[in-house]
Amino acid sequence: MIIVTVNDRLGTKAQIPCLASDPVKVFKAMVASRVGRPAHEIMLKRQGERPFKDHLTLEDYGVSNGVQLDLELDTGD
Amino acid sequence: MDLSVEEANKIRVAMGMKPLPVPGGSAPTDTGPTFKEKKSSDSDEEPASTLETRSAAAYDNWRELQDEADAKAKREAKAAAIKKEREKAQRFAKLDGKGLADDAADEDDMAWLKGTKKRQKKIEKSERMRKELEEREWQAQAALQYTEADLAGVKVGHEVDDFGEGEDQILVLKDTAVDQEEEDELEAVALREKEKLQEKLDSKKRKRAYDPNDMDEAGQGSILAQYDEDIDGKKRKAFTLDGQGRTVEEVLLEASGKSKPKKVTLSLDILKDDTPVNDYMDISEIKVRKPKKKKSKSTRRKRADDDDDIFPMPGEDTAEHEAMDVDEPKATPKPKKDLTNESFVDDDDLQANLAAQRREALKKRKNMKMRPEDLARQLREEASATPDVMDTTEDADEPGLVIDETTEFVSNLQRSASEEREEERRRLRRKSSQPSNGIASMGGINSADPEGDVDTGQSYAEVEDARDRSESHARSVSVDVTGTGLDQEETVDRGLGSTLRLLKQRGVIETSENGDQNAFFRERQRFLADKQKAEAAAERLAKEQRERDRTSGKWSHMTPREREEHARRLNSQRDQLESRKLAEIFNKEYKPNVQLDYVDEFGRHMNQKEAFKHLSHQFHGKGSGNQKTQKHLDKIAAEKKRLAQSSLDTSQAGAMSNAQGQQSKKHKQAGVRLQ
Repeated sequence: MIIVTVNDRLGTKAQIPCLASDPVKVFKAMVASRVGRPAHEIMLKRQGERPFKDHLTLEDYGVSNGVQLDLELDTGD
Repeated sequence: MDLSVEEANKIRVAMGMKPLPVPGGSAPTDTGPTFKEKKSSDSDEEPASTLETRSAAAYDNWRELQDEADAKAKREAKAAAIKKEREKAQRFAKLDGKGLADDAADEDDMAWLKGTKKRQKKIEKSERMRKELEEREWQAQAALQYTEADLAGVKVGHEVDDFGEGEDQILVLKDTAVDQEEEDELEAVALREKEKLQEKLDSKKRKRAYDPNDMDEAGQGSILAQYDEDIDGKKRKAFTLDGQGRTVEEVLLEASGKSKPKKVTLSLDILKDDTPVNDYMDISEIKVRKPKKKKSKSTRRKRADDDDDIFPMPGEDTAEHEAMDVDEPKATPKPKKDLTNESFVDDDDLQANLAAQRREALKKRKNMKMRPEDLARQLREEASATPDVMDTTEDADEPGLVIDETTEFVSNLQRSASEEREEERRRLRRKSSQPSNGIASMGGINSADPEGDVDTGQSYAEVEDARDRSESHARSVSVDVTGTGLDQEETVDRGLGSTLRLLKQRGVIETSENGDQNAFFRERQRFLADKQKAEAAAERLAKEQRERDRTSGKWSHMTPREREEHARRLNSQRDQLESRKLAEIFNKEYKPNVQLDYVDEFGRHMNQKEAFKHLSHQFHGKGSGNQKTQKHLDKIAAEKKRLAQSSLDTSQAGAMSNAQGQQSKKHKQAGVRLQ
C-alpha cells in the first residue's frame, strides 16, 4: 500500500491510500470520492508531464509512496 | 492518513477492486485471496525478483519500517525519561547538607546574649585599627606630595613678566652638567624657545651702538653699554621663588621700601602731537570784523607804485640791490608790518607766545638727530649734484652762490636802467676806440668785443654769457654751470672718466654703488695669491727634500731601481699632502662667482629670456621667421639709437619716451616742450 498526495494548487490537497498496481481509473474514483468532483472531470499528471491515461496503472507511471500528483480539471478534449 | 483505510476499502470493494490491507486487523484474511506467508515466499525464490513478490513484500517492509520507527521513538523517550530522572536526583542531592540555620542552632539565646559584648569590643577594635592605618597612610601621602613650599629658593631662569597671566607654563629642570656647582634652575621650554628666537632675530637686525629709544626710563645706562654683554657675559634674567607664591626679589624690594620704578605714562594721541606747531591762531578762534568797503584809489596810482617796486631807482639803491643779490639771492623783502605791529597792545603777549612756539619747534628739530650715514649720503648727493665745482682748482675761494641761466634770467628782469646806460656808454666807447685799435682789437684779446658790437638783437643774457666766457677763458679754469639747472652731458673727448660718467648717465652701464664688487675682486685676488704661495712653498719643500735625500748616504746605497721607487713614493706622499692643503684652502676661502653671460651675434648681452630663445633656436636648428627676425632687428636698431642720443635732448622723436610725451601722444595733442 502506498499513500499518494493529490494537489490542485488552489487549496485542495488530499492524501489517498492505494495500491501501486491500481489502474488510474480506480485511483481517480477514489480521488473523486474525496474531492467531490466527478471522476471524468479529473485529470491527473505529474508536474510538467502529460496527463495520466486511465487504462494504465500508477506503477506504470512510477508513482510510489509519498509522491505528489497534480489535480486538474479535465474538459474532455 | 486523511482517508481511513476502511473507507477506502469500502469504495474499492464497491468498484470490484481488492481492498487495501489493514495493518492491525486481520481484514485481508477474511475476504478474498491473500498473500502467501513470508515463510513461503522466501522458501525457494529469490526475494523481490518479480513484481508480484515485491508488491507482496511491500506491506511487510512497511510494517518493519514502522516498527523500527516506533522502537526508536520509544527508546528515545525512555532515554529522555532516564536523563530527566537523573537530573532531578542530582538537583535534590545538592540540597542536602547543613544550612545556615542549622549552624547557629547549637547555641542557646543566653549564651548569645553574653557573647554580644565581646563581639562589640572586637568590632570597635578593628574599626580603630582601620582608622589608624588610614591616617598613617594619609600622612605618608602628604609627606610625599610636592607643594610650593618645596620650591622655596629655587631659581627660575625667566623674567616674572614672561609668564603671562592666565596661561600655564611647564617648568623643567635646566640641563646642566652633573658635576657643575650651580644650583638647580627651572626653565620653561616654550619660553626658552621664544627667547632664543627673539635673540636670533635681534642678532639679525643691525644693531646700533647708540639707540636713544633704547634708554631705560631713568635715563641711566652704563657707558658704552653695547659692550657689556661681551665683557660681563650675557645677563641672565632670573628670579627666585620663596615658596609662598612670590619671588624673593619682590620681597626684598618691598622690604627695602623702594617701590617699583614708575612707568612713564604715554599718551596715545601721538599723532596729534606730531603735527607741527602752528604759528598762527586757529581760524575758528579769530573774529574778523568786516572792514568797511573803501573806495579804491585810482588804478593808475597803484601801477606807479608797482613799477617802483620792480624797477628800483638808479643810484646807490641799485648798488645795494646788486650786493644783496650776490650775497643772498633768495632774500625775501622784510615785511614792513613789524614796525607797525609794535604799537599794538597785545603785541608783547603774542611775541612771547610765538617765541615759545619757535623754541619748541627748534628743540624738536634738534632732537631728531641725524645718523652719520644719512649725513654722509646727503653730502655725497650734494657733491654729485655739482661735480664740476669740486673739480675746479679755485675750490677754496669759490663763493657759495652759483649763478646759472635761471637766476640770470630773473636778475635780468630786475635790471636797472643804470646798467643799460652803462652798457650803452661802454658800447660807445668801444665804437670810438675801434678805428684806432684797428685789427689788433679784432685780433681778439677781448673776444667779446665783436659780439658786443653786433648784439643789438641779442638778449642781455647772451651778452652776459659772452662776457662770462671771456673771463673764464682768461682764468683758464671754468666753473661749468649750465642753463636749465641741469648738468651738461659729459663728452667722450675728455678722457676715460668722463666717458664712463656719460655712459652711466645714459644708463648704458649699470653700476652697483656699493664697494661689494671691489671687495669681492680683492678677495679673489688674495685667494689666488694664497694658492700660488702655497703651491710655491710646497714646490720648494719638495726640492729641498730631494736635495737632502741626494746628499744623505742612503741614496748612494740604493740601486737605481730602488731610487726610482723611493722617489715615486715620496712624490705621491707630497702630492697627497699638497692636495689636502689645497682642498683646505678651497674649503675655507674659495667663493666662486658664477655668471652666465650670453652674447648674441651683434655683441649684445642677452637676458635670460633671449638667451633661452637663442639656445632653443640653436638646438632645433631653426630660427624664427622673417617677420620676427625683422622685428628683432628693429628693436636692436632702436636700442642703439636710444643709447646714442643724449638723455637731455628732448627735441628728437625719442623724447616721446618720457612720460609727458607719452601722455600727449595718448591724448593726441601736438606740441613741443620749450625749455
